Amino acid sequence: MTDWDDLERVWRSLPAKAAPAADELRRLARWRWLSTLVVWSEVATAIAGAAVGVWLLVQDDFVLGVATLAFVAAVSWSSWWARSLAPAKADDPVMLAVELAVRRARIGTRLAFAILWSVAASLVFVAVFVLLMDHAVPLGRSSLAILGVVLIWLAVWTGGTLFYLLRRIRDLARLEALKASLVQED
Amino acid sequence: MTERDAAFADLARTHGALIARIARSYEANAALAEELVQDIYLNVWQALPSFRGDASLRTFVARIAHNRAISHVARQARAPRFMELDDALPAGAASPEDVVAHADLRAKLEAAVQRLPVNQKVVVTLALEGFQAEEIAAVLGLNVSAATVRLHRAKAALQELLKGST
Repeated sequence: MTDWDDLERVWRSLPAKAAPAADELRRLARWRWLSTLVVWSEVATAIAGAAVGVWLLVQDDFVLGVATLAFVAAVSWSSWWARSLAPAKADDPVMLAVELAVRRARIGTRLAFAILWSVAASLVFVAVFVLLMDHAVPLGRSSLAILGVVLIWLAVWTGGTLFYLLRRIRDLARLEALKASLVQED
Repeated sequence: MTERDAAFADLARTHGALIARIARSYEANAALAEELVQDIYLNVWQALPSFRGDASLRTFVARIAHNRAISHVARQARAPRFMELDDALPAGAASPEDVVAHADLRAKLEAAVQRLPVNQKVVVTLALEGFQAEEIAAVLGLNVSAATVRLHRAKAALQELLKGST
């Protein structure tokens, strides 16, 4: 059996060239913008939804206007709530960090499901809206263009959310296994 | 150079090897280990302004390094990679026999640490870096007696793996 002091000496003799690389740090920092981009696209969607709600109210379409504003408020609040639940610091103790990572992955999974349901609800909402509008006044080219943009936007959100959901489900399974490994001795 | 830049440069000089060895204990692929090292540096850089000195600087660095390494493991789709035995010999050692014995033990030690489960890997890498039970407890967020029990078990597990590899 090798003496522990020998092991410490051998361990610290391992080649360990690890200077911070400015280019690599910049590249990694760029990825941080992805999460910022997602938040801003959520904000943009909320503002656009609120603008549509206000426009409907101005058009004297009280029920659809209030429904739109309520829907936007509910989705925005649930997104903010989910993000505020598990704040983490890079230098949290390891056990706490893993616990928070599991919690964030769980919240992320639930949030992604909530977004998918919201998109489904949005599609129903848009369909009802179009039917009602079309019934009152046949839709013109500009209305159809707006409808197309809305549908493309919803499709992008669905694709992005599905990608995120699958990744989060995988992360959650691995993080729960890691957490189980870390707590098994307690 | 700002005060933060200077503190970061000093930290990289003092604790760069610790960061690299922790990264290597989780990731045997050299390119991915290097990426993990840079990810740890980025997180250290971002967290540096919040360092208040409640724990030592190396405890602060070790926490961030292990947290990022565990996230890295969680993100990896493939099975954990283990290091192949390295035949490269270090230069400047006493005798050819010493060189061979040292290189052999070094390769076996690194491979054994990589094979440990995460709970033991965290404790063993810190102990090999010379952390005491109190510091290991601070990195993990455990009480000292729990950390001491883990330390004994992890050391025994490492010795067992090393014995098995001879």
